[in-house]
Formats: sequence, structure tokens, C-alpha cells
Amino acid sequence: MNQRPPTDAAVEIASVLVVVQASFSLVAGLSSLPFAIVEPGFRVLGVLTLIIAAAMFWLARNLRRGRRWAWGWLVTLELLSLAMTTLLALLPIGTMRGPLPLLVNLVIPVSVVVLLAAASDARGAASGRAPARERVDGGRYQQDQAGHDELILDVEA
Amino acid sequence: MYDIAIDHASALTAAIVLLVFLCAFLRLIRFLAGRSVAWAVRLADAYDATPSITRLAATLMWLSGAIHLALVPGHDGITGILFVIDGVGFIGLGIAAFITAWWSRAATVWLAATIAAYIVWVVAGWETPDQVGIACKLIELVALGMVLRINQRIGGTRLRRTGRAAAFPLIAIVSTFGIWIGGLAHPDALHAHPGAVLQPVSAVATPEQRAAADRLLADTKASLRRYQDPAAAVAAGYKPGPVSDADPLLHFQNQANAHAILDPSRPQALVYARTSTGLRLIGAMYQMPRIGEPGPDPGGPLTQWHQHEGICFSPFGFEFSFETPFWTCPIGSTSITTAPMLHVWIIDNGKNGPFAADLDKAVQRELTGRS
Repeated sequence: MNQRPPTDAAVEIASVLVVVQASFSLVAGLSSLPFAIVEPGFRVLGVLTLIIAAAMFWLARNLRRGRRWAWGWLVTLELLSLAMTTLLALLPIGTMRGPLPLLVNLVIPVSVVVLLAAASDARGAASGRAPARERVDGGRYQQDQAGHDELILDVEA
Repeated sequence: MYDIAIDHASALTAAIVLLVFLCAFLRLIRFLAGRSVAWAVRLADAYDATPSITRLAATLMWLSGAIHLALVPGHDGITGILFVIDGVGFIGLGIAAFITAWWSRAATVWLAATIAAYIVWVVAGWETPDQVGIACKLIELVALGMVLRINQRIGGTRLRRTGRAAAFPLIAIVSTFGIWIGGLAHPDALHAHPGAVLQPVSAVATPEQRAAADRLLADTKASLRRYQDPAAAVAAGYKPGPVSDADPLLHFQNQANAHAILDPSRPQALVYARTSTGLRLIGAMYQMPRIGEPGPDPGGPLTQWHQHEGICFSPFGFEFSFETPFWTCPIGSTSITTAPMLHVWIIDNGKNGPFAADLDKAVQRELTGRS
């Protein structure tokens, strides 16, 4: 069996949800490409969406590996996404109609933020239980052998 | 574009009831385990020993199972039988997740097969995609992501792990495009074209409705005579919308008329065709003040209102693409639903007629040289 870096349940579930979001962004980016043939604005938006989708896959991977910057970027992205969703939902333009847009644009981002917050709390608790580890950034992170910042995470059974 | 089919609404109730039941059942087990009831203690121990990601995958499979079983009464024949098999299978696999070691590979196959079957049904036109069906696929996709992750943790070669990592995005892409293609290839009767939904009307126009439709057309033609020159329209308060290379028509809108309802003297918008010799007035567009407010249809089926939805608008002018079935737009664009609208074409609109949602393609080609 391959040795994998330690991770905890919340991070693991959050990373799967981010991969789901990234996949949907990938599809949205791909689907805009036929329109981009005649619409220059969608050339920009389509390529931007594909880049962000790729970035989200990469962030999900690095979140599982315990990189603190991935955690920070994802929290920022999800909060931005939620802010935009809330703003659009408040405008009378019919953006949110039915359970599906609520699930995709609200429930999944909120779940990711809650899971990442829970992971942060777990890290704090874990670092409190492991005083021998080298503690940086308020005791939430340690450095791995290569010098990268690693989250201190619980190992799930 | 994707609404909730009436016979699918029971599935939403089933999903909510299941979640409430699971919460109540878990509390009951904890309560009984606290009083040392043997079977409750065993169940609580099995639950506690199960990783969170597995619990979540099991819950999502139970949700999908409950949705499938709730949909059985509305689906006859082979579809109904498959729903029973699928629902029972998901519930069984959800239970197996807590007590067996083999469940994850079986769940992978079951989830992938269920998603693939849905795509086949939708593309073949045996099932119309709606929000309940797509939400169910979303639940199954998330469950599949969890199960693939659990399998990945089990190990394997680097190549196999890479394959498993690529599998999920690939399945999500195929699912999305499958639902999309199926929905566009087999639209229901109320979808005039992708992105437009028609307001339901009676099947046959009465003589009174025919007379009312003729009157509306005549009144609109009379009212629009003064706007043949676009400068006159601008002087009357109409403002041209954004010009798009993709659209040979140009709408001039007048916000001052926003609250008028089907008033031929105060149409909300004028439609001009961009011809080689300049703008030519070809029709009016009436629009209701608010989203979801049905328009009056004096001509019955002859004057059928429509609204645009499932469209992603770009911030760079009048550019749009279609929203995916999972309700996502390219980043930076916005999904917009319009208030109901009714076009009245004052030129001969070919076989589509004077109240069609769209200008007849042949007429448009003749006017603008573009289709």
C-alpha cells in the first residue's frame, strides 16, 4: 500500500466537493467555446473559466496534501463565490429557481467552507496535542521534510 | 430550461423525509445505546467505526435510493422496474458501507451504471431531464466522487490512481453534455427553442380569440407606423440595446413603458432588423413587468407568451451562451431569466406567423442576409 500524507475527514470530503465544482466549471468553460466563435467576450470568459477549473483541481489536490496556501485560496474562492451567488439571488433576474441551483451554487460552497473551517479547528486541536511538532503560524502548521508547509491533520481510521 | 416535472415532486418529499428519518434514527440509536441496549450498542459502534466520508457516501446513496423509489409510481414499464432495482440497490449498498469491506467497488459500478443509464434514457428521449432528475445525478456524482476517493485511498499503482483521479471529471463532463444534448434534442412541447419556454395555452383558438389576435396585430401595426424611422423611436424614449455580431436584430427598449401590459400604444420594445440598407422596423415586443408573471393572451394559442431562461449573459454586451444542466455559467457571466414577452411581427413572418417567439429563419435571411 502506498504511503499517503495524513489527512482528515473534513479535508477529504471538502476536496471531493471542490473536484465536483471544478468539473462543473470545466464543463461550463467547454460549453462556452462554441459561442466564443462569434462572441469575443465569451472567448475571454471561456478561457478564464477553464483556467479557474484547472486551478481548482490543483487546489483540491494540494488541500489533500495539507498545503495551507491551498486551504486559504479555497476559502477565499468559496467566499467570493458565495458573495456573488447571494448578490445575484437578491437581484430580480431569476438566477436561482428551484432546488438544483441552490444545491450547486449555495449548498456545496457553504459545505466546503464549513468543512474547511472544521478542518482548521481540527488542526488547531491536533497541534495542541502534538507539542513536539515544529509549530508555525499560530501552531496550526508544520513544515515537512522538503520544507513545505504542511497542515497538521488527524489520520482517519 | 429545466423545471420540476409534476410527477417528480414526490421525490423531493421523499428526500426530505429520509433525511429527517435518518437524523431521528441516529438519535434513537444513541439514546438506546446509552441505556446499554445490545443491538443499539452494536449499531452505534459500527456507525462510530465508519469513516465520515463513508457515512456521507452511504447517506447520498440512500438519498438517491429514496428518490428512485419515490418515482416508481410515475414511471411505467422497464423504467419503473429499473427504478425499483436501483433504489433497493442503493439502500443495500448504503447499509453495506457500514458492515462490509467490499461495498466501495460495488458502489462505484452501481453509481456509474445509474448515471450512464440516465444519460442513455435522456438521449433516447425516454426521459425528459428536469431539476429532480438532474439533482439526483448531482447527488450520485458527489457520492461517486466520495467512493472513488475511498478507493483511491486503498492504493494501487500511480497509473491506476491517476486514472481514478481523471475518471470523475470525465464522468461529470459526459453526464453534463449527455443531459444537455438529450434535453435539446427532445425538448418538451413548451420549449420553442433552447433557452425559451412558452406559456401554456389551450390547444385550439376560438373565433373570439382569433378576432382578438387580429385586433392586437392591427393595433400594433397602427401604433408602430410612427417609429419607422429609428430617430423617431429614440425621440419617443426608446433606447437601442447592445449590438451583437451574433444577432441581426436590434431591440429598442423604453423603460417608461415598463408597467404597461399589452398596450399597443406603449410597447416595451421595438424590433429592428439590421439590413444592408439600414435599420428596418419589423415588430414590437410586449413584456410583463415581473419575472414569473403570466402575460394575458387574448388570442389564446395564437398569442402565446414566452420567457427566456437558462441563458448566460456576458458582461461584454449582448453576448450569451447556454447554462449547463448543473446550473453553471462561465465565470463572469450571469444566468438571467426574463419576464414573459410576446413578439408581434408587423411584416409577413412566413410560416411562424405574427406572434411567434422567433422571426422565421427564411424571412430573417431575406431581410438581413444572415440566418
